[in-house]
Amino acid sequence: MRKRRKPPDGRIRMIDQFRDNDYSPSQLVILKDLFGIAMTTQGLFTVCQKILETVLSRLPFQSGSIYFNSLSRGDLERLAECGESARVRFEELAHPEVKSAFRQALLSVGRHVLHPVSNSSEETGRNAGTYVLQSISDAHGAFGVLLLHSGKPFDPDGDLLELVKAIGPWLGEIIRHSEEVARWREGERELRRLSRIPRENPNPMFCVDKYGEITFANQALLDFLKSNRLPRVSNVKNLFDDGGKAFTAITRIVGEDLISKNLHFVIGERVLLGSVSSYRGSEESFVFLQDISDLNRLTREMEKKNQELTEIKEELEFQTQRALESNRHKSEFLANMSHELRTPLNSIIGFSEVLLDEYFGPLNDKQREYLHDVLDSARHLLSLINDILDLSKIEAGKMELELAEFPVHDFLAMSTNLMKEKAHSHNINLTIEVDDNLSVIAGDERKLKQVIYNLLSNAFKFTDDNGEIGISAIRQRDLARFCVWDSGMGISVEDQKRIFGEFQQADGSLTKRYEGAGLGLAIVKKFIELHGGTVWVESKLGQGSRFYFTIPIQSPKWLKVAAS
Amino acid sequence: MRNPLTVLIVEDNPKSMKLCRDLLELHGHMILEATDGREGVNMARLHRPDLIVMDIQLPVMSGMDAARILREKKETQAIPIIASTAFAMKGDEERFLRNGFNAYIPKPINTRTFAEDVEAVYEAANAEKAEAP
Repeated sequence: MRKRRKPPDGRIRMIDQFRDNDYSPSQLVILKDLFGIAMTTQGLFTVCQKILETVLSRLPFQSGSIYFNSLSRGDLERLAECGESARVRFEELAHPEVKSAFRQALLSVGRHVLHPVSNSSEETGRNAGTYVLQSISDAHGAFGVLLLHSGKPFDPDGDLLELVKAIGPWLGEIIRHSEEVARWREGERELRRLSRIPRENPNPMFCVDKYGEITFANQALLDFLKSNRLPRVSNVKNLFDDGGKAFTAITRIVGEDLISKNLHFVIGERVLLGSVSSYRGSEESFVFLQDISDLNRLTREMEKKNQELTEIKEELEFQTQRALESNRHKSEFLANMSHELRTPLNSIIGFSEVLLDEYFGPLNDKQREYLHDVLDSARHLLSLINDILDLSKIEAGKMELELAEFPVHDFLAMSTNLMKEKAHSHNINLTIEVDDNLSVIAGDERKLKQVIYNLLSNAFKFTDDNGEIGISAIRQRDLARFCVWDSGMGISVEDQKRIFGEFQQADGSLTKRYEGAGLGLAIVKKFIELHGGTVWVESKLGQGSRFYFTIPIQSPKWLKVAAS
Repeated sequence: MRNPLTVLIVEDNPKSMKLCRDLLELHGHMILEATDGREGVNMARLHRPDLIVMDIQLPVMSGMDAARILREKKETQAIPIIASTAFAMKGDEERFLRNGFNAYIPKPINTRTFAEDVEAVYEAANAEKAEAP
């Protein structure tokens, strides 16, 4: 044990007590001795032992014990005992009167004098005589007993009892402040803390021994059972939905090394999930429960929702499949229709051309004029069929871009070649302007050519003779911006919103004067969007129109991936 | 005027047949006619034409199947075949060329160049043959 120079608090209190009390000289002699022991002796057991020896040597008792009520080490801790001939131990005290006095001394501060205690038939002779039991206490109450015994009955006088009474609190102070007790108390605190864990755990738990006896049940379990006592075995057995089989199995594994999980308990409408923990040599198994009723309900709800989702998903897949199929049917229908329509057109155009070429004899002017009308109409019909096929391909996602780099100026010149004759015959001034720093762009040249062609066709359609039409291309950072402009009739703000839709012309009444099914701009919009660009129009009625579109100068990566 | 060719036209549409025949006859060529794929194969094996113009969508046997059979038969495998169809989607031309056709002329045909186009295919095929050992 560690040496300690400074006496503990308890011994200082003893000095106070000396000062405050009026003791007789004979008492003071004993107290001085006891004080000397307390001040000079180290170790709780030794102190207690020496104090007891001194008391016995000076007072008319033959034996004695000092008990300490320790929660952490069982109910009673015997700190000292003395007396060869008549050892007195509480455990051996069969006499009910002494036992009762001992308990009272332990529970409340006070002194009990029992004398004489006579022999009964079962008792040994050494238990007879006079007993003095003194509570060992501190400010908070009693926590030990000083037990003194004299085999020879006598009537203790006032001085003797006063002395014993003085010793009680001293012992209390000494014990309370000793290192040993401090450690025990630490242990007690620890034990209390640990014991709170199962007790206050909101999840029910209990302990069971191998005989099926419930040795512990926490408050949560009692609450569950609506009981305030340890449940009886039958009560616990009923917790199991299998009528007790699982419970019997639990008692069987007590003392084995085993952790058993996923036992189901049903209490009323509640469902509990249990796990049993047992280890080798243990006398009890712990059964931990968890209320999973809500979890069960949630799981069921989730399963139901999942089921619903699965059904919705299946329905969606079915609909998607149907939509895909219907789209495929549509594409097939359009491809077939295109074929069916082209076949007679092949004959109409072919025979008209052959006749116009006068292989089979000369034509008069009227015949030639009519044949030209037939041919024009047939060609127009053919271009409509091609447009419809193009649009349906875009919608079906089948339109693919053939990406390549090409020079802008050549591209525009080639695109306008077809229109030159028309410009000349209508005396329309057709100009091309290309920004110097926009030489090469990437894209699907054929489709962009069609874009320019469609926009130019529109411009010619809505521009009167002697007007002006132009194309310009400039660079805007990473974009190439094209503009097809004309000095024609212009488009109202309202109409500007709808002209890019399918089968739309600015004004329904115009269709008589201006041919076209209104597919041209729809195709322009879709081709430009396929390139990752945008198209828009700026116009005022009577002041011409400017159709703009932008495309990235370098095809973006995603476009290349999509195109490849 | 070059040497007249014997051209087999396999075509189920009578008007397309007539147009095609008339255009080639105007150029002095001899015309054989078949209206379905099987008849086309039989006539080709029987008459060994200089060239075949084949529609794709045909009754009894498609133009694709007919061309494949003609390429397998020894007596017809060297005859140039031109696919001519209105059923033209992207990638079709490639498919035709892979399938044994020498060329592809989409419908509607250009009446002003059709006969010359056909003659050019014949010339090209013969030039190839002459090069081969």
